[in-house]
Amino acid sequence: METIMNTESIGTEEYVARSAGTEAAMRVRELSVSYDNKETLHKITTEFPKHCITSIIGPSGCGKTTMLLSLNDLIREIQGVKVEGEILLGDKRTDAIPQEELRRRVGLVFQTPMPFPFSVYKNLTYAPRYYGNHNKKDLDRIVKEKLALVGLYDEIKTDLNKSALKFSGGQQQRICIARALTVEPDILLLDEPCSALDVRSISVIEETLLRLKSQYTIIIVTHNIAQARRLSDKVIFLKDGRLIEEGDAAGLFREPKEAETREFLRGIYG
Amino acid sequence: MRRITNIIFKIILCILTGVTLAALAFVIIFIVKEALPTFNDVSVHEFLFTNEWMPVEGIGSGARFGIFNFIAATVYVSFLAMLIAIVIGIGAALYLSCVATDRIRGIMYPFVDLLAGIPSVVYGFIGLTVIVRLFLKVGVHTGVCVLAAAILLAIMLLPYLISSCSETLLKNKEAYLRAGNALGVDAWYTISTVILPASWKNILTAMILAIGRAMGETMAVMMVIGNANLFPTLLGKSESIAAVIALEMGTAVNGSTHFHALYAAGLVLIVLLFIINVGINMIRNKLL
Ligand SMILES: Nc1ncnc2c1ncn2[C@@H]1O[C@H](COP(=O)(O)OP(=O)(O)O)[C@@H](O)[C@H]1O
Ligand SMILES: [Mg+2]
Repeated sequence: METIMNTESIGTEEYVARSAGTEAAMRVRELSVSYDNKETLHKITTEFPKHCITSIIGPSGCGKTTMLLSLNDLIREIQGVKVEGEILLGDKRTDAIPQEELRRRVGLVFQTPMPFPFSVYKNLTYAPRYYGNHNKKDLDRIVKEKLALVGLYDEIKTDLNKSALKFSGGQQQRICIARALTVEPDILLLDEPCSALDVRSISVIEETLLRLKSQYTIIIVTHNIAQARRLSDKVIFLKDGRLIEEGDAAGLFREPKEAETREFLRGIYG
Repeated sequence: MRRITNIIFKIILCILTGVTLAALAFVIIFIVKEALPTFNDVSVHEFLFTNEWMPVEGIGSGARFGIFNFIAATVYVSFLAMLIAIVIGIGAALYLSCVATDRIRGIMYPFVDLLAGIPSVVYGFIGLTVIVRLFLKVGVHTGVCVLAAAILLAIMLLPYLISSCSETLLKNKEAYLRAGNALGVDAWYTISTVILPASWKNILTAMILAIGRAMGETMAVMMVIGNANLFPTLLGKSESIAAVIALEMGTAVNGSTHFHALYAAGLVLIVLLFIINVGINMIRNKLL
């Protein structure tokens, strides 16, 4: 942690070398992904430090979603995809981990909140039941614990049997985050989780993520630079499927090394 | 200028809506008016709940107008057809929406739509040459029967059911399958516990429209159901309300009780449809 926070923005190779001491929850080596033979990610090498928030930023269409989907292998559900390179969870290659286990350990929250059309309670017990937990007491505990983690328990504890679709967008997204946590992941991936939400909900979700950091490793895609600044420990900048620059957030935002990064950040600020 | 165009446009729309409603009202009023004289000669109870249909006075017996068997046959054959069609239809829709690739879907959809456009007399012809002949081979006397009509009707309902069910299933799959995947949940588990339940409402709506079509379908059913005034049994002959009307309207003497009774039968068909629609709607709203 410390080493990362103190690192100035530096070139990619140097950064990887310097932060080698920090424990990485996930690592990616020479990751290339193509859809129907059209290369979308090109030889990405990076890592995601444990109990940190890593932001992935870049212009739309640069491959941010593709990157996230690769990390828990959801990318395989798309027809005509080819993935090369290796992804490590801890020190194990993800293709050597059973898909179900990988997806449990690396949770994903989508851009638009997609709670199942059931009650909140049923949403949060859906996956635990699937994995064989039918103990009522245990399920009650999971629901309470995960809702509390996303700061929603006190807010909706009397409405647990209400349909999840009846809540506001921000609440729905937090229900989805809580649902992702019910399978006890180590890593939480979020794909522009705030892009459909109002300002107030955004700040609640940001607070939630900062709180979750102590227990989970968080990787978030965002198109909102201010949000990346507020949240991130580490930032990865992608463009046209290539990793242009990465580094600790403070350094990279203050003093980007690459011209393309500077241009991107300037463009956003207008 | 803008405002004037807007107003003109609005007026045109109002007129068109008015014409539609007027046409509908006219049809209903006309049928009711033509149907009512029946009940000068026959009581409503006798008309609905007895099963002797002898429209022309015979020697030593008066004419009788009881359409109970026709009502029973109409409901029986429609629900049987619906049962067959919905099982196969949901299966096919599940395949199209959740198993087939985009390419297969692209090839199959136009075929399904094409099937929906085939005229019912052609289906009836196929029913006669294929289904009836098959029943004959299996040993059903003359081959025409209620089950043959139900199977034929089911085939006719399938294209519509498949395309509307697969449309909602596809929509719900796109919404929920990835969420299930992201939790590591098996695709078929998500399909059966989330996607299908979320689709029930629209599937029931599709069933309402299909049952309307089934109950009103005349030609194809008439060709294979046998047209005998009998209480419907699977392998026996029977006759639907629509078939009676189509077969007898041409020969009924204008203004006779027979003539009016056929209108009354039509009215019963409309009311029956209305009751079933309301019933399914109530189930739908209660269930979901
Ligand atoms: N399912 C897909 N099939 C084909 N091409 C895709 C698919 N998903 C994304 N792409 C292409 O891959 C590129 C990167 O997409 P994506 O990862 O969604 O970008 P981002 O999330 O950064 O906006 C885009 O050019 C997009 O058109
Ligand atoms: Mg994206």
